Amino acid sequence: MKKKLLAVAAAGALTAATAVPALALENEFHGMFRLFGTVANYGQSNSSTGATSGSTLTAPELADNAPTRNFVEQRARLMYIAKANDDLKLVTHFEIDSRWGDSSYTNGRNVGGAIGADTVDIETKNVYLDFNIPSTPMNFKVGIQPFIDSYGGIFVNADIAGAQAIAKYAGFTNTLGFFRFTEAVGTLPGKADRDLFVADVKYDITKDIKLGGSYYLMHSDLVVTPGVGNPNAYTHMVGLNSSMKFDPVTLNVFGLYQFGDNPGPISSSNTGNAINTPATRNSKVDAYALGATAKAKLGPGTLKLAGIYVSGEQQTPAGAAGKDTGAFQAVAGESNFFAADMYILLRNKYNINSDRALVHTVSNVTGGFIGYDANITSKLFANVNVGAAWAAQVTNKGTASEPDSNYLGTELNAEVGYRLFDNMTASVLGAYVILGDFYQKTKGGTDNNFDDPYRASLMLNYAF
Amino acid sequence: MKKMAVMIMAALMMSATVPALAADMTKEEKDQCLLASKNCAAEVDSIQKKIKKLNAEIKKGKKAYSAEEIKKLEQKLDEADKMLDQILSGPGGGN
Repeated sequence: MKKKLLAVAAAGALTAATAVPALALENEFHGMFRLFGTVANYGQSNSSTGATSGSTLTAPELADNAPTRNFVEQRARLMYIAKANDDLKLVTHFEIDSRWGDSSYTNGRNVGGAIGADTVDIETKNVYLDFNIPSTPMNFKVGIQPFIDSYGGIFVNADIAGAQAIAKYAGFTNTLGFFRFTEAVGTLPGKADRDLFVADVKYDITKDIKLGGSYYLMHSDLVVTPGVGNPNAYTHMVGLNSSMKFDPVTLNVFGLYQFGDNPGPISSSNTGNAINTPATRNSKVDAYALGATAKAKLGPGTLKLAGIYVSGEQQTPAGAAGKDTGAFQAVAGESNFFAADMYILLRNKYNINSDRALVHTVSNVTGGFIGYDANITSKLFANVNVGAAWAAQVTNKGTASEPDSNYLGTELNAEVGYRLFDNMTASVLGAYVILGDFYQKTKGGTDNNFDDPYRASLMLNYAF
Repeated sequence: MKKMAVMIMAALMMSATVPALAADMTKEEKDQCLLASKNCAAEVDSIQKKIKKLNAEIKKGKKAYSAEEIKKLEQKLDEADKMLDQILSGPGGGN
């Protein structure tokens, strides 16, 4: 009898386990593949591993008689989401980048494109839990996740480890966040770090008018020499942003003011503490960024306008020991202003590892941009963009090496593409920058005679 | 003991036979899944298809959905748009 009961219980448990739909898991797979074949006269210096990484485009990449080169890059992204229900999911996102011919039979990111391939090169971009508290307006995102500031990414747009609590109610979207950028190597975990605290409010005044405000606090206690200088640097940022829709125009404006301790170059590096130790210099920052973008339906496409002013600094080096700086401190290599739709003046959202730009980290720049995206047919599309940029400040004031002008240059770019499938496009694009005298000439009479940088690319994009 | 084993086996078999019914097909029908990768049993929506479906459902408006449900669909559309943006041009785009 006892055995019979046990058998019935076991069978019952098995059927119950298979029958309860609430335990079902929804598996979501998404991703993309991009191929970029490029002919250019800038960028692309090989590292010892064959990998390339993003940087500001400077000499020797700008050169007289700059050599033309051609290369093919590819990027795949794979996203897997394990969704328990509408209120709970685990998001994972991976990336595999290579340049054809770079290296093979090795371990490391951004390679594996040489003959033989066989490289351990998968990057983990995101691993985070995204959950709601049932019957409340609260959402949490906890783990290594994407974060973009409320200012188009001019301060930070990166994958970062952290936690966000988001509450949506009565037209408000309120966010509190904590992100840990980096820890100093060789210290106790959590003893010397750079952290960002985020408080962000957005309010929908009407369906078409939204206002927002933010307070960001960056704290760093990364020090070069213990006991020297202030080990705690507090950098504050306050900003306002708004989005307004007056058919057919959508207008976004924003401003961000940065003050307090100079955080110094904010990078992801944690190996050389020296570059991450502004606090030892007792330097202050007093900087700001302003921007606006506008889009309007016009004819068969969309007319776009964008402008930014991001403050700079005259003194050399900016923020050196004891000196204050007026240069806006964006996160190095992890900031952008994609709304400009530039390829060489500023970073472009489609760039892969050869991503180089005259203004790579958004600082010390004034720019104006205009463009038009056209849908010629349901399959054929084209866009054209023109932008000009100036340095907000020039360094080496009063010396022979002071740039002759703060004019950085003017970029023209255009793309023509065809939608082969709903989720695949093929396009050709070209970009050319007429270099300004910021690069070409100095007050002391030097004429660098750099070639104007250009690129022509073929791009395939598949997203699913 | 034998009875217990039989019952457990029966329970397992029941749970294992259910999904096979989903792919039921008559002899005359062509298997579009094998032939053209269409209508496969385990087919999932691409992100673009999901966005298209959400837009179509939101368009149905209050005839089909309550205000609360429309809000939920709009939220899902917003999430899907952001996800596509993340995949195509998410941070780290340059590195």
